[in-house]
Amino acid sequence: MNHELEILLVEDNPADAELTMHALRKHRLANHIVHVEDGQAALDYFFGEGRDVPVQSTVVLLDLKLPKVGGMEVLRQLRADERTKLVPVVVLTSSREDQDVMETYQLGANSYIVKPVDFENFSAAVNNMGLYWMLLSVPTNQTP
Amino acid sequence: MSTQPEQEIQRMAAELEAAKKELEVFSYSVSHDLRAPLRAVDGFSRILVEEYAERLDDDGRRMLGVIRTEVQRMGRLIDALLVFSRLGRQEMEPEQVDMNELAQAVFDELASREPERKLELNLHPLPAACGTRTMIRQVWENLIGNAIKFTKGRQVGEIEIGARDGEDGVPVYYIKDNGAGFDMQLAGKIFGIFQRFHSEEEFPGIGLGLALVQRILHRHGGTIRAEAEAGRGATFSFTLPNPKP
Repeated sequence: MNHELEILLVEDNPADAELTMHALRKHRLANHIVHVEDGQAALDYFFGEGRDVPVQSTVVLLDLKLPKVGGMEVLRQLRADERTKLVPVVVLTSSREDQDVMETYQLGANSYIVKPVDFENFSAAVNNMGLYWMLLSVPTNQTP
Repeated sequence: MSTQPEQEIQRMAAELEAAKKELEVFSYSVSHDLRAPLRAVDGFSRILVEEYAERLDDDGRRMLGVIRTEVQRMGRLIDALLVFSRLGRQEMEPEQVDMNELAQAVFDELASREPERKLELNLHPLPAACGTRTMIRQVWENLIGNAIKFTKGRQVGEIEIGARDGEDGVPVYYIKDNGAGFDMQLAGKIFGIFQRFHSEEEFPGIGLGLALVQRILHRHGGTIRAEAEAGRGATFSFTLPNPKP
């Protein structure tokens, strides 16, 4: 069985994206990160022609304020489609108090992370979703 | 009969409401949008510390440390702004509040976080108040928290809490400590947001607590005043609307 975790990072802020990838790279998850910068590209990743994304082993890290198609709309479309309605989605937010986060839960988001994304809050989010096995391929005890 | 003054009052009330909304939206957006660049400074400077420190000399590392300290301070200031703006949007839910119970509970909780300190609370009977419980709790947390903080240099931190009858029978609650106090010439400024009278090393803080307290009391139609003498403790007195029988 292939337990490799694929991460789709949907983030338009280049500094946030770099920091997220840097944090995950330290834990050797970077080989499995696809980074897109707008909502349309995120939808194309799943629904583009000839695409067949293994949704069981994919986690979407979704910023909400995105160009072209907003994060909220991306989430809505993922949940509306039979192929992607179960793909785990972690919403990225600037603030714990963000009203939008509550709304994303109603739309079916699985978890959220207050930025910056680091390995700790990423692991916590993945564990919360019951997807702890996704981290099994990560070597433990490694010094970053 | 068309009443000119009444229309005028309505117009002003509408304007005031609009200005208030605008201010709230503004401070919320500032707090949110300021976080993004701050996150970048924080994240990249942290990477420098963690991964590039050995390539800098002592002076370089010290300067990097200054960046790290200040960026975290900025983060706390932004958090404080958020707390402050949220208070303006919070709904009022007035209820009868047992002030004795609340003050004692807050003191016990805060004192338990400072097990090495010797603190004495002299709590006189307090009349009940009418207001939004979570907000009144914040008032006590800040005032008692300050009393504990500013008595740090004393062998025994003495805190007295009581009430007396004020004008029109409205109770005036007070809290008195034997702490550092402050110069009365500064009293006018003490409730300003981000105002601080002591150095960060002496008494850490960002200068939000009393501004928050005043805002809460104003929302309850109450007032607060401070009396003190440098080195001889401080007394804060405040009012809340009279509880309904």
